[in-house]
Amino acid sequence: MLTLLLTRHGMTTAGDVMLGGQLDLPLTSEGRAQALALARRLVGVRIDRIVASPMLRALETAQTVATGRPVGIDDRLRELDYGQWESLTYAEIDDRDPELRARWENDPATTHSPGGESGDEVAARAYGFLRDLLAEEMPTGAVARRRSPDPGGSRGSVSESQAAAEGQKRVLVVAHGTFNRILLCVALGIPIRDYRRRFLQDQTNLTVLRYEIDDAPNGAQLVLLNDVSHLRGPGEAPWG
Amino acid sequence: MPLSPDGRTQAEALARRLTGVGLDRIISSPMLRAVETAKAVATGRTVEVEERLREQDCGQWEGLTFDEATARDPELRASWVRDPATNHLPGGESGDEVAERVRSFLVDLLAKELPGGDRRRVLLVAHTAINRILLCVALGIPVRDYRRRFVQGRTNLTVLRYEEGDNPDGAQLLVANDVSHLSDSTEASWS
Repeated sequence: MLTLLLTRHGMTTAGDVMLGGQLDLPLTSEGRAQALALARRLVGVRIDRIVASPMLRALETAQTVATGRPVGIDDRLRELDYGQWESLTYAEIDDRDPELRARWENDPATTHSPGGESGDEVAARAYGFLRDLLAEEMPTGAVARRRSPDPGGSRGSVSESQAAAEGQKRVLVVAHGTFNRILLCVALGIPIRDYRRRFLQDQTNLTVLRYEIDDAPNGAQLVLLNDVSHLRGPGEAPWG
Repeated sequence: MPLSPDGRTQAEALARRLTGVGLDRIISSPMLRAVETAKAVATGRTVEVEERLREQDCGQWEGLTFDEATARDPELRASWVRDPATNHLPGGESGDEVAERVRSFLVDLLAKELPGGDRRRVLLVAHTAINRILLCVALGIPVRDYRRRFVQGRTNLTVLRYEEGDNPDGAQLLVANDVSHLSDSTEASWS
């Protein structure tokens, strides 16, 4: 079994209003506080491997959560490249090219900004990343733990040593808002065209996917999505 | 079956979690465990009962463990695991049949709550199979995949959003299976 913990980087100096794929900005103090909150949330949770996008905001977030453990870098986890739309707000994009913006809204899988990546192109690298991760962490022939027969879908708890012995691996992936939503579509077999419509990825949220032995990259179970309870005070709405 | 003491504690934890969160309506399955949970969260507010939110009917397999069901009819059990959308248990409902009543419920809910552009919040209290089937319907995922794709822990918080003009299959999934309000939740949802 492979449990994939997925998160998005914390707040950057760009705020959260413009499209910023490739601009390599650091976290703000608020972003660091968000990453620390996630680190505290994950204290005591065994994590076998941490992999981050090479971009500064993701690396800083991953290093905060890692608290000294090694952080692997995978180039395929980069944010979608918005090309000439980088650093623009939606209003500015509409001024420049309302027709392309409309097409992109209608189908962000096949449409790309001038010089940028389409959703399908990002999905291809997300797929490649998941395929390699499954091959490395859950090689065929390892001891299979079947899905729990509990009709609630929850699994019986096992001790950490037992978990390690039975090849239950946990990997934390730290990436980006658009990339993560596309990865969720890939992992759950949802059309890439729907990535903007179906999912949310708040900063330093906790999302959990689970793969059993022999599952394909598109065969994940969604165990938890966009949990930001470590960032919310009492009485605050538990969603973004 | 009524809630156990643990079940009541879980419902109270969800109630505390939702303190201060405005809810315009609370709608529950008619089954006792759901109504008790809904009332704990409602803390005095009205709980509406909706027949279409009943749990999937497992017919003659009601009350059996999965091992007992397998012993009784390994072939049917296997075909149900392979495709729980079209297969039904003896005297029970298929996933597609449950999806049909879920869709009908969502059609009516959206027709009533979406027009006008207000931000409405509705809490639904139901069951593990029907909730996972509802997620498939709401997100346009094949009903056949409901057991494979989703998890619904007890008194978890799952949030779907519809904008005006959305169809029942046009939801956005904001949060799924958040159980951080449960005291033993540190790893419960992914262990």
